[in-house]
Amino acid sequence: MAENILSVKDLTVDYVLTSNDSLRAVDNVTFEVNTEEIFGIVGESGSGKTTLAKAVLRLLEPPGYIRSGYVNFGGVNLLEVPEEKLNKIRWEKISYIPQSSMNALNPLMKIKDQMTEVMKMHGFKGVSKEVINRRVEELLVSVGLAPEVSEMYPHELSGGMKQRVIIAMATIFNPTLIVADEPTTALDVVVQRGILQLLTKIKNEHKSSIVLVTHDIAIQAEVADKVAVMYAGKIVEIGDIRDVLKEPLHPYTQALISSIPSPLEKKALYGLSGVPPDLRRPPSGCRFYPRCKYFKSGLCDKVEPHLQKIGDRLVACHLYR
Amino acid sequence: MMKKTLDIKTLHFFSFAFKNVKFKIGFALFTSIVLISIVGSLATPYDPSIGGKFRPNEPPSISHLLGTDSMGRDILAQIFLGTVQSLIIGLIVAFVGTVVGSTLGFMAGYYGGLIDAFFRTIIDTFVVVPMLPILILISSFFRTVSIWLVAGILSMFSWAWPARQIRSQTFSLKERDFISVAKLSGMSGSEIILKEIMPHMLQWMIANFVNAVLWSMLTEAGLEILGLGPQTTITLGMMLYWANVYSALLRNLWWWWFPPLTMLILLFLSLYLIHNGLDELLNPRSRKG
Amino acid sequence: MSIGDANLIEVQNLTKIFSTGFIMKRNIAAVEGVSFSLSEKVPEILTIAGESGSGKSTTARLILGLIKPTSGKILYKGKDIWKMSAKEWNQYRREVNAVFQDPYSAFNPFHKVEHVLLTPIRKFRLAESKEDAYELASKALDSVNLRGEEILGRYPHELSGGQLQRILLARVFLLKPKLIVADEPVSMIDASIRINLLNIMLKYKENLGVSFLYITHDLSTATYISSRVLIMYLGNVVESGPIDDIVQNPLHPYVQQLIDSIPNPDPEKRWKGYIKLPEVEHNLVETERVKGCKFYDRCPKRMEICKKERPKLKQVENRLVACHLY
Repeated sequence: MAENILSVKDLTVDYVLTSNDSLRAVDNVTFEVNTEEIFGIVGESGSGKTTLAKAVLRLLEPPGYIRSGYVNFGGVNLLEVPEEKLNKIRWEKISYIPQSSMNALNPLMKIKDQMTEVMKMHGFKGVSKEVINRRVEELLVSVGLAPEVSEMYPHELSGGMKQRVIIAMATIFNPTLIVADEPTTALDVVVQRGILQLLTKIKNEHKSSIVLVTHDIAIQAEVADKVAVMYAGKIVEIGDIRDVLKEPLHPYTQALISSIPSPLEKKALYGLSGVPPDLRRPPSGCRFYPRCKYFKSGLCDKVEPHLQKIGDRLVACHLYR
Repeated sequence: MMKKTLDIKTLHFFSFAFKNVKFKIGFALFTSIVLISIVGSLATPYDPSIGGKFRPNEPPSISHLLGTDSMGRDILAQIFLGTVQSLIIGLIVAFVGTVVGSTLGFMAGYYGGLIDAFFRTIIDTFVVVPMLPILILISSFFRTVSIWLVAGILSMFSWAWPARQIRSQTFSLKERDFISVAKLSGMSGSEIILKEIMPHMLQWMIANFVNAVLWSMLTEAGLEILGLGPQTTITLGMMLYWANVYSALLRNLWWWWFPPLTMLILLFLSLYLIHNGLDELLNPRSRKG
Repeated sequence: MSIGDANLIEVQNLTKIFSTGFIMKRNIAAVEGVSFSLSEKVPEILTIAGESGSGKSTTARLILGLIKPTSGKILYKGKDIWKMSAKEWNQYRREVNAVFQDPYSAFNPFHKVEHVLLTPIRKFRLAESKEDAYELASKALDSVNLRGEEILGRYPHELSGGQLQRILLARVFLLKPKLIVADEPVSMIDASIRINLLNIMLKYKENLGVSFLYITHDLSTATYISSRVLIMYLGNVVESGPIDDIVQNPLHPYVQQLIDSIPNPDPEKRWKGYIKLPEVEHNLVETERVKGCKFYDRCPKRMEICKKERPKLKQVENRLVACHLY
C-alpha cells in the first residue's frame, strides 16, 4: 500500500538580495512522496524547482533562507534536526544528485578514490580495502559500467558514464529517497533514456523513491508516477502522471503540454506569450494571470488561487471552484 | 558614440570605486601628495637642484622648513620637485607599459597565428629575463644618465606582463559567441578588439596601470640609490643617493634622508591601497549580484 | 562567375580534422565527408541533427566561414568561399548569418542590446541617420513581437533568454540574408517559449524567403519546421532525406535508436525495452583510429564487416543511408 515517506508542508524560501529587496523563490509548497514512487517536479526557468529540491535537503546557501515550513522524513523534521543527525541521514537515507553533477567529480582523483571517500565518511570506517573496492566495483556494475572504470579519471569518461558514476555514488547506502535535479541535461537523447531507465530500475530493485526535478514534461511522462507542476515559486497542479498529461487542468500545464512538438503528428502549435514574472514584484492575485488565456479581470488579478482537490488532482486555479 | 560611452563608464567607475574604503583612503592620500607637490614646486622661485644657494647642513628652521643638504640646497623644495619628477617617470613608464603592452597583447591574442607566435616569444623572453641585472648593465653603459633614459629602460620591462595577461584573456574571449556575432555584423578586427574585447579588460588595465606606477617608482628609486640614476636631476631616489654619498646617516643629518624616505613610503602606501581597493572591487565575490 | 547555378549553397565532401597534442599528435575528424546543397530559388529549412560530438556545430562554423576546412569545398552561389574576393566575401557575410545556442553569450555584457542591431545597420549602411537607424531597429523588433522602446536601451542581463534570442532573430529581418545558420537556437529556451521562436523562423522562411540550416539534437522541433534532415554521428552523415519519412521509418540503427529514445509526452506510449548503455565508451580521440563503422560499439545489429569497413552513403528508397545492412 502506498506509504508516505516524505511530506513537505508550507515550505517557503526567500532570496535576500539587498537590505530592502528580496524575492520569494518558493511559496508555501506542499506535497507528499510515497514509497517506490517516482515523483516528478516539472517547471521552467525561474519556477523555483531547484531551490525547492535544495531546501528540502537543507542544502540551501545564503542568500537563500528557509522562512517557514516543515519536511517530514521518517518521523523527523529535516529542517529542525541537528546537523550531525542530518549528515547521517544524507547519503544513507536520502541522497542528492545536483544539477550538472557530472562536473562535480574531482578531476584529480580516480573514480575509485572518490567513491571510497564518500564511503569512509559514512560508516565504512575501519573496513578493509578489499571490501571497499569490491563494493565500488559492484556499484559500477549495477549501473552498467565496466569494473575497470574505477581506475579511471573523470576526463576519460563520457558524459553518460560520469552521470552513471554519480548515480552509483548516490546508491551506495541504498537510500529510501533519491532527489535528482535535472540528471539528464547535456546528455544525448539515447543516453538520457538509459539514465532514466536506470533510475526506474533502481526504484524497482531497491524499492527507493525518486524525486525527479526537470523542465521537460515529456521525461516525466516516460518515467514518473506522479507529477507536480511549478510556476513562479508555487505548485499549480499535482496529480497522477497519466491524468495530468491526458487532461491537464491548469492553463499553464495545458500550455506546457501543447508546446511539445510531436514528431509523428504535424499540427500548428502556439507557445506562451510573455515572460515569467519578476519574483521581486510578483503580480497580485494569480501569478500566471498575465499570460493566461482564461484571465478573468477582477478575479485572477486580485485573489490568489489555492490548491484545491478536484477528484484525484490538486489544482490552483479559479476556473475550478 | 564612443566618447559618450567612455564618459559614462568613467563616471560609473568612480562612483563604484569610491564605495571601497581602501580605495578612498589611498586615492585621497595620493591626490593630496600630488597636489601639494605640484603647488609647492610651482611656488619655488628658484631651481632647487643648483647648489650653493644656502648655508649647507642646516637643520630645519623657519626659513628652511626641512633644512638644507650638504650642497646648500633646500630640502623642502627638493621634496616638492623630486616627488613630481619621480611621479612623472612613474606615469610615463606605466603609460607606455600599459598602452604598448595592451596593444601587443590584444593583437597577439586576437589575430593568433604568426603574429601571436612572434609576440609570444618576445613577451616570454622579457617576462623571464632577470630585470635588475639587465637594468644595472644598461645603466652602467651610459656615462651620463638622463631622466629619459631611466624612463626608457624601465618601460622596456613594464610592457611584458600586461601583454601576456591581455593576450591570454583575449585568446579565450575571442571564442565567445558575441565575437562571432560581431564578425557577422561586419565589424573589422581592430573594431572588435576596441569595442568588444577591450571593455572586458579595462578595469584590469586600470589596476595594472596603478601597479605599474608603483613598480616603476620602486625600481627607479632602487636604481638611483645604487648610483645609476640621473645625477643632475632631483628625484626622491636621487635625494637618498646624495644623502648616502655624503654620509647623512652617520653625520646625523636626519632631515636629509628622512623626508624623501617618508615621501616614498607614503606614495607606495597610497598606490598600494588604491591597487588593493581596486582588486577587492574587481573580485567577483565582493561584487554585488 | 555567373550565378547560373541553381544552388544557394553547395557543400562538397567537407572535412575538418583537429590536431591536438605536441609530441603525440592526435587527429580528430570532427567532420568527415559531408555533402549537401540548398536551392536558391526555393527557401528551405534543412536540419542537421546529431548528438554532441557528432560534428554538427563544427559544420555550422565551417559554413559560416569562421573556421577553415581541412578538405572539401563550400560553394556559395557557385563560388568557393575561401577563394572569394574581398567584395564577394563581404556579400557572403551579408547574406549568410547566424543564430547561436546560448543567447546570453551572444551578447557582450558591456553593451546595450541595441548594439547588435545598430552595428550591422551602421556597417552595412542600411540607414542614413541615427534616427533612421533606431526606427529600423524598432521595426525589426516588431517582426519578433518585441517593443523597441522597452527593449533597445536594456542590458542583456535584464532580459530573458527568449527575448534575447528573439533580438538575434530580429537581425535576420534587418539583414534579410539568404541563409541563416541556426545552431541549437532553442535548446536553452524554456519549452513553452520555443514554439514562438520556431514560428518566427517559419515566418521568415515564408515571408522573407530566408533559408535555414537548423542544427539541433532535438528531432521533435526539427520535424515541426523542417522538411529535410541530415543525421550525423561522430562526424559522418549516417542517414539523410525527407524528415517525416525518416522519423516514421528510420533505416540506420543509430537513427532507429535515436527516434525510439525521444521522450513521448503520452504516458501510455512509454519506452518499450531497456536500452543498454555501453560499459565503457571510447573517447572521440580513439574513434579516429577506428577503421570500420563508428557506431559498431553501440549497434544492436552489427556484423563482422562493420568492424572492418566504413560504410558509405547509399541511396535506399527515398534517402541516403550509410550502413552495411543495405
